Amino acid sequence: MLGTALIVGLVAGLLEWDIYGWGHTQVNRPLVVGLVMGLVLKDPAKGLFIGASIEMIYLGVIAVGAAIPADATSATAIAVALAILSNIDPKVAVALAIPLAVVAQLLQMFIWTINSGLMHRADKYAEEGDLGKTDGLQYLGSFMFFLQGFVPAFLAVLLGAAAVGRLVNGMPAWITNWFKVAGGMLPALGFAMLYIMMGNNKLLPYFIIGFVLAAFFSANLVAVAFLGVAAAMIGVSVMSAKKTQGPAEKGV
Amino acid sequence: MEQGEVKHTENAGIKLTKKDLTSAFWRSLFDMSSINYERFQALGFLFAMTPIIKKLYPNREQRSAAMKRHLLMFNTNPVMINPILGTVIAMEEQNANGVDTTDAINDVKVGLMGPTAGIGDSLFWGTLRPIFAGLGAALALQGSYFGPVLFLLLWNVIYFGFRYLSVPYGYRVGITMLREAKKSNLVQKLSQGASVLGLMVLGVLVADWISIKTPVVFNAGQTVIKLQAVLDGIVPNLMPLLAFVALVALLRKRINPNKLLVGIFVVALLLSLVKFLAA
Repeated sequence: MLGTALIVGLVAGLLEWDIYGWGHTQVNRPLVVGLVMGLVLKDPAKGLFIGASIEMIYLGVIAVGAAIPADATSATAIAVALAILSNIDPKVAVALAIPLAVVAQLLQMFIWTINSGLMHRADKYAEEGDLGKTDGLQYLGSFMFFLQGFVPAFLAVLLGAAAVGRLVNGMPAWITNWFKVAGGMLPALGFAMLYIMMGNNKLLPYFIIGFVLAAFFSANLVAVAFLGVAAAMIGVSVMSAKKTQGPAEKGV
Repeated sequence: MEQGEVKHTENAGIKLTKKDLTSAFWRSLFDMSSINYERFQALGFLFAMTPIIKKLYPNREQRSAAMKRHLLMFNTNPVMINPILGTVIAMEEQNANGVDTTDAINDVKVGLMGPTAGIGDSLFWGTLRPIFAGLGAALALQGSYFGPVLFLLLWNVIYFGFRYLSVPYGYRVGITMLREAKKSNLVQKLSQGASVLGLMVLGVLVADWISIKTPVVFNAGQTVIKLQAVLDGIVPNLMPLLAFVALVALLRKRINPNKLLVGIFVVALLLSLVKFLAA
């Protein structure tokens, strides 16, 4: 199990690094983490399902200003690893990721706090005009976030895989039912947060169109996305037409 | 000190090249590496400026002053660092060539932080990424491995395109444009259009990917009536829609999402115990 734990930890750490080391390519999103972890542990289908399910929940959770959002990266990595290694029901694994994401968020806040120490060292280098030396501080800060991904995933698999498997698989039916029902409802919260962020009452019709197309006509999401692009283009040209007509108009 | 006053001319004539801007771009991707609660992305910004400072200021005193300038608190949406970076590079270049802009540099950084953060958060984090990730996740839940790949492709082309091009853009166009960016029509159009697309996609996600189902059945004489079938006859996916609407209403009342998260687990427990809901 040590070897597997090392690999899972390494993958989790590398993916966690996305925000803090290599430029927001979004490989840290649950959707990608799930697939990668699934491939590493040779059950890509399960990884893909769990990752995509967790993605739906965290779709609307974003970092605004200086707030750190729940960190679903290592949570997804751990949920997928445990689901595959301990043979847990994927739907239960999705619900397990929620508390893990909160723990990961707390760890991140801890690193944001201790990284403040880097600034004082940087001040010293600035005083001396030692330009190159600040680079090292940057790499050190970055490495802390790798550890933040690596350590929990490594420990969870090393110490937890067998125990969690026994625990979850021995759970009474009402608990697993509870988790599955909760897991089905959770995306509603993510979507609601997204709506609050993007929507205003003027744009409500577009939401209704999308819902009706899917619910009544079973429309494919990609098809609706294309319609959405068309609607956006119409909306924008109507907006510009209004702009050129009325000079008295103030921002929409 | 008066702005624009010609002060030191000893290293006048240092011109930055496209290569310098590109090198600052690559380094800017480490924006969050040393993020901390004291000065946020300050060290990250200095990290991106390092090759520029190295080239513009050969002597130690000037370097020290420049380093101190860029170690002051800085924080914005990572996507929007790059147009600011381009602007600041242009100002440092002027400064090195004898036009004193030292005080203005920090003013510009601080002044641009707020409005650009708003644009980046709402357009990139709040709209584009959820649309792409929602598309990818929906495909993935249908069993397609192309889902995550599509998500990464769509995001990275637009995202890296923007970050790469906005450094030279900021360098050329500079402060005035960026300051006007929030008011400018282009950004408004972009975010309006993106929101329209996002809301239509969101409508589909609400219909398809929230799963709330009841196993309740009524026995009316000989016939068995399934409650779920009755509900689907009215509006398909009615319960997911109602749950979504209720959560939007609660969020509008400024109820903390974490409380709602706990609330969902409580409701799920109660309704699954009385067998009104099942997975």
